Amino acid sequence: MASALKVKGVHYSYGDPGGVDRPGSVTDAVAGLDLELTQGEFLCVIGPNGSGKSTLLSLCAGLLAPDRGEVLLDGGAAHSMAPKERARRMAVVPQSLASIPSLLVETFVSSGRYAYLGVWRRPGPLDKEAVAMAMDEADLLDVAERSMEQLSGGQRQRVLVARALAQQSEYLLVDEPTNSLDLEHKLHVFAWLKRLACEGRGVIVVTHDLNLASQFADRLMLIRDGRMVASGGPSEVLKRSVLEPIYGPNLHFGELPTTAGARPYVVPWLQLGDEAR
Amino acid sequence: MTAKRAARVQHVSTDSPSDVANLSKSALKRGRRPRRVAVILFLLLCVLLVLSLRVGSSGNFQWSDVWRGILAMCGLGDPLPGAQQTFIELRALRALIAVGVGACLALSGGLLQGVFRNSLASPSIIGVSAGAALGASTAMMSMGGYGPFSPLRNVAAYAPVVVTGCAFLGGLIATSVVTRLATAGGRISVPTLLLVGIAVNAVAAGLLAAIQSFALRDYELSRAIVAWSFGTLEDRSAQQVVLLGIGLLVAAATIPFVALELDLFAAGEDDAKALGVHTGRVKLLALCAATLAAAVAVSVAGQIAFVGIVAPHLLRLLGGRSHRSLLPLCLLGGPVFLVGADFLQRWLLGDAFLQPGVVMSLIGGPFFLYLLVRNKGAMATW
Repeated sequence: MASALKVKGVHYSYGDPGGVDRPGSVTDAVAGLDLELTQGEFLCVIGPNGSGKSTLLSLCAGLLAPDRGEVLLDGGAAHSMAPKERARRMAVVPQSLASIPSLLVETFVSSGRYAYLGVWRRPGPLDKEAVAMAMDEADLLDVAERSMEQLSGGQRQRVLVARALAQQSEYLLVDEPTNSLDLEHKLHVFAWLKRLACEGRGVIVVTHDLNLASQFADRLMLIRDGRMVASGGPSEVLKRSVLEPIYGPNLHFGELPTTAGARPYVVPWLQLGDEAR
Repeated sequence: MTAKRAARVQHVSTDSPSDVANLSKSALKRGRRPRRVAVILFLLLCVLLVLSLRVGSSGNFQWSDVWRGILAMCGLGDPLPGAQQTFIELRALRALIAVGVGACLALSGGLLQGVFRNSLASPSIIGVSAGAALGASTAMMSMGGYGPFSPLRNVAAYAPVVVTGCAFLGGLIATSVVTRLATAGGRISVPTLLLVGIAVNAVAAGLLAAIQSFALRDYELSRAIVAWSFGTLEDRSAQQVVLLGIGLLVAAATIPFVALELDLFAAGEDDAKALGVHTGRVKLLALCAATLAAAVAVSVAGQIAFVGIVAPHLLRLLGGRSHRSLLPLCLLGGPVFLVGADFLQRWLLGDAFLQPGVVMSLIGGPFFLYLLVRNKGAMATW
């Protein structure tokens, strides 16, 4: 039986009345979301800023405990699993790190093996092999001996994905992987994630990039204010009736051919003369 | 297959092969460096220990006498004539205490800096030492026959153990107050941490002063408490050396179970959690170990400030930032620092020697200010 990640009616509020970024906030960051992901599937979660996308990802990863509802990984609650067991099954690729550690790239990627280490924390041959494979997969072998601080933005993103690959997990939860990347690198990252999904992992990507999501995802999920607005194939979500209430009327829609059929795209489009209106 | 190839992340390398070779060589060097630093520190510590047996307020010994004294202490030779052997043994005891206290304080500082992810954290700054001192002096006073805990009078025979136990309790209370108040929404706020530290230090200092004035009637007791609260290495007993050793061993035994985890904390606690680190357990273990180490140091030698901040900082510059090398190095670097400072002031100032606590404050205070100045940029974002 293939495993599945199931989110059922999940609520979460930061409930931090003194919080700087959410003063007096009592509204739920995530208010009743459902989601199901099986291995081999590529799901993109899209939505405006502050819609609860990243909170949803943290809930899926079991880093936050839901206030209500549940996140189940093969029937077990994700947040109450033993941390190591959870890390062997789900890997998180964060948007960025709180601070860039001054580590060698290889050492950093090796930290993805933490959940497999024994009592004395000594990496075994399997760990070394997994790290080497992840580094090869991410094309990082040439920079293995470099310090994390010396990397470019694109390289750093690949290092983060490589570390998650070293975890050899069934699920990859990726938070905004293309921020601060140029067009070429954005495309590479998405194509790479798509391939990882095709190889049998369940992949959730939180992103602002509707068009890359449309091009690569099996399913899109659009959320706003912690609630689901639309879910389904790209052509069911990227259409004017769905997006206009969220992103405003200045949108231009079109279609691009892909190997998997025509996929819709949308670009912000301010028509000449519109400013005057 | 072509899709797979097209999807393959392209790699743009600007390295020439020789660059890569140089980089990997420097990486290898970096890997070996902690070991080399450890060897140097160990040799330095041995030299300092022998030197501190030779030099002291009761006069300097000949080298040959120092060797004879050491052999006699190990039961391998005849003791030196008269009081000389006693002098050597007292100096050895003092040096051993300095080794243990230095190791404890440096380890405690290293652990706290790892947990709080900030190089300004140390047992004396955030109030752990003060809490331990308060616990210890309360125990001393009670065993001296004062205060509400009269049952403690009956256990005066186990004085060092009781004092250390109470110091540990006091330190734990301070640690939990500081940790709880400085944590908001799962994140530790550095300014709050330092402010809570100030408050805990102030409260503990006030209570200590109160205890001291209670004890004024009893000359012996107040002398003991005052001398001890300045931080002293004098008149310590062998029992205390054993206690110090046990406390240090227990605290150091946690190193293998928290060092790698603290390294993973560096990129953020959530990140460590996602990698499978049991963050709550690791923090608890590291904080308990840090508190225990600080408490045994304080209960034996009083409050010696700044070892816990200066030693780990210098060791990080010498042996790298990883806690896997830093924490073991603290066990050597702390002693070198404290024994060295103690020896230097005895050697330079001769008889008129200062308490080690005073010396450390004179070195450590300016060093702390230097750290603040150097981190000005980072402080702006706190």
